[in-house]
Amino acid sequence: MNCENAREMILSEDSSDCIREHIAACPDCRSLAAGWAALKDLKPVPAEPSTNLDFKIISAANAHPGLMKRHRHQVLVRRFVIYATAASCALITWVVLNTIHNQAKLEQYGSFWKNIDVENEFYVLMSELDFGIRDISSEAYSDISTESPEPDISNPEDLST
Amino acid sequence: MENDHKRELSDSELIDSFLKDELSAFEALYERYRKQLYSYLHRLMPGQHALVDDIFQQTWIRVIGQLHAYRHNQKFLAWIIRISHNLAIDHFRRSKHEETNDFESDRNIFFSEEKYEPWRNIDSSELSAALEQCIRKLPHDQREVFLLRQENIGFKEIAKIQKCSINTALGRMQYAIRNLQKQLSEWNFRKG
Repeated sequence: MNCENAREMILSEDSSDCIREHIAACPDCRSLAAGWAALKDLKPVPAEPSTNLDFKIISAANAHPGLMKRHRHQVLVRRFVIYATAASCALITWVVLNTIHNQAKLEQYGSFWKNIDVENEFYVLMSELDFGIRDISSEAYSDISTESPEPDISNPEDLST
Repeated sequence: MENDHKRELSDSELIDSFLKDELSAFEALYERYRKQLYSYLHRLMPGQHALVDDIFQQTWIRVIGQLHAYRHNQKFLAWIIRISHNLAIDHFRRSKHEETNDFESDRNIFFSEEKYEPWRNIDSSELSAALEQCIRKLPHDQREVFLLRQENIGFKEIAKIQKCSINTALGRMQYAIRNLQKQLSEWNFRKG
């Protein structure tokens, strides 16, 4: 250990074995260590600020507008973050629940369709098709009137018949 | 009762409480450091009571305004001392006070090679008064490092306060101790 390292350890009050060995061997560092040990706690009775000064500082803390403003701003930001988080959570919950609900519905209908007999399904389809054809044909023939036209009163031939 | 509870809280907790609009938290924090800071400034700028009062007040007002920016990983005392140090420098720069020269490095030191301190056996109150006189004669940067170390501020923080390297701070401290040893020995010799 050199004196520069020792100096740092002495003045930082490090009391490891290596520094003790160095101090024992080096008179210069020993003197520094002794000096600091003697002086470090040698303090006069602490001076005190006047009560007037205390009052001024406490008043300044009490009435600091910047602090209040900043604090209010912080509170508003914090509230906004809380409300935004709550709203996001609610939205996410709603989306998740809705998805689960839809999934359940899909699964329900899927199983319903799966249970239908294919043959049955065929007949249903065919019957629907049949009804469809009948509907189309009835519409097509509806234009051709099967009833005789009303007799013309002014025509005597018609009246006789 | 409430004050007792506040006294038990850490600096960080008190600061958080104050930022939540609790004045009593600031009062507790102020009570914790008022003497320490005032004594420090008093010893740093001896005999300048009005200036000490002014810088002390300005320091606390700045502390109030900047508490929201305080980083909890640093020592609160070191932080407020740094603020007061900057205010003192600003003051001396503005007024071009004769003390300004003291803020610049003064390497004209005495280097003692005394192996023991004959003044160590003297009554501590008498020695303490003599030491205060000797501290006044130190160059400003040495005085500041010595007083900061007496307040248990680490060299890393001292280096930050003085805006220098840790090695420079260590060097200043070493010179300060040598200077004080020398001056106290002379004082003891004169005293007989």
